[in-house]
Amino acid sequence: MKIELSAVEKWYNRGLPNEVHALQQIELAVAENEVVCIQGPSGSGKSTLLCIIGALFGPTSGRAAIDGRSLARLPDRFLTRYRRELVGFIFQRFQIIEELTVAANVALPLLPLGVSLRERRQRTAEALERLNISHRSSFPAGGISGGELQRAVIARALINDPAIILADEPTAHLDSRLSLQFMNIIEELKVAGKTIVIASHDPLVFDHPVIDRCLFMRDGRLTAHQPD
Amino acid sequence: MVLETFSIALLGCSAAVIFLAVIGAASGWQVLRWWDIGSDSETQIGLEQRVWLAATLVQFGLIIELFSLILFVLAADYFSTILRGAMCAAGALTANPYGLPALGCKITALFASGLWIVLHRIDIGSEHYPLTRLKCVWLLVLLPLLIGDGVLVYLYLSSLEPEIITSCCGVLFGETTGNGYSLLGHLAPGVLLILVCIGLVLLIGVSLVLLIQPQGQNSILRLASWCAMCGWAFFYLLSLVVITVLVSPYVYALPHHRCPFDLLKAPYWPTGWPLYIFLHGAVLAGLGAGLVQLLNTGPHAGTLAQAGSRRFVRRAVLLSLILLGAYLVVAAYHPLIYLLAGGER
Repeated sequence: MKIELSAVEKWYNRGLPNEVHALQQIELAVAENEVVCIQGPSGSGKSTLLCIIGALFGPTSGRAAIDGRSLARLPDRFLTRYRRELVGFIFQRFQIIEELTVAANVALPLLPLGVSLRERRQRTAEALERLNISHRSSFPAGGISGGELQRAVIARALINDPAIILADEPTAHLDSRLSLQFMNIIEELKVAGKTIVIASHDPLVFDHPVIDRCLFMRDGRLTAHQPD
Repeated sequence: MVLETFSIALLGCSAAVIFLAVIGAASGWQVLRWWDIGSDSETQIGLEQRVWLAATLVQFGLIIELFSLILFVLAADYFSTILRGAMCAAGALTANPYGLPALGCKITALFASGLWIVLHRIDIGSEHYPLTRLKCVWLLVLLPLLIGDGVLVYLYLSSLEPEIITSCCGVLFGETTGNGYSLLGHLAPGVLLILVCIGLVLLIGVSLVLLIQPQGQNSILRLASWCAMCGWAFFYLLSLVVITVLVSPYVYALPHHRCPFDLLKAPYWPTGWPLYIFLHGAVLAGLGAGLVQLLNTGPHAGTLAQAGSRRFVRRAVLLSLILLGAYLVVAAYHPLIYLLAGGER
């Protein structure tokens, strides 16, 4: 699926003393089956950009479109379907339900799709196996380590087999071996035809050969070249 | 009687509805002025969010208006214990010139709000927002209606005088026509029954046309849509008369007791409440089906079809017919029992 952002602006708390101009005139086109890495310091607007592509919230102005359909204009139920069926989001802050087990957290995206219990269990087991955390499947998600949690979050994002994968600092809590394993999964996903946008400042990610293009963000602006 | 508990509650409801409607209408006005679906500007995105705000407000307004309508009838019933000569809500509502217009205004506002929500549901089914302008015009029309409702309720409550002798339902709806007060006395039951039968046949016929939806025959569909809307509106008014003149005497088992309001009180409420709920539901679904089908024949037909408008029409027609059937069963129950058993058990 093709991602297009044109003249996208995002303000938080506009007109208030704590206003933030998070994104400024963002122009971005990600082709189908392309893997793009966005680098930039903390607070530069990477997460906001991913959230807009993932339709978690809309831009203040400008156009964010997926396959030519403007996200800002899509009614709520279309957006819900888009997020549910087409996007796999790896959150920087995990966004898990700590009281549920790791397996239940990973299986969550399948619930609204009406997947049968048997298939749900099977796909969850496969996803956990792929990320090497099967041994933690019955643990409460709040009781496992950061690295394991990160892998559970990745498994959750991939369990729906989404066409678009958005990853916000996916290797922040992983050691180099697990980071490389994650990049191998990204490579498999690219072969499977997925469109992937990763926000990261981990050299293991942006120097990896699977990355087609690196972009740089600073103070809400996106550039093709690293700013001085 | 403005300081009575019922009055304060009613005025509070009216104030809340007007407040919500003013905000909704202000959003509608802005949308009408600045709406440009092709633009990605901050103004346009803000307006799209305002449409959602207006929709939420109207939905809350509808709930309050529904509550207010029920409260108004209950309040009138309570006032009948204070007003001289008023034996039930009918007497209390005709104690001054504002009662019945206020009730009519409330019912109209209820249907208008319900139809606005129908339009909104269809509109948000499409990413092209085909009905947004119509919705905003509707909001601007709804505002004076709701303000009028609030003003009439206030005038009604503030003009109620316990000292002034009013009439009861027996006089207002009774068969004695010579006193000048009778509203329905001159209507012959036989004629009403014939009118109901003709109305039912026409309504079912038009509903079937809407249900089948002959493709490409817009002129037939347009005519059927208008017929459905006018038919349901007429049937609603006719039904209120029929309930008063034909149905209620059988429910009360008193040939000369004609009252549409006593049906809501014990021991008649098991008949009265379902009767009115089914009637209002059927009329709203029927009006909604007619309205949406009419829009289906307009310039946005393609976009509306994508938004599921045809599916909506089919479901609304079916719902209206089911509720109509339920209404007829409840309405005919007591007369039929009387006819079959030779009297009330």
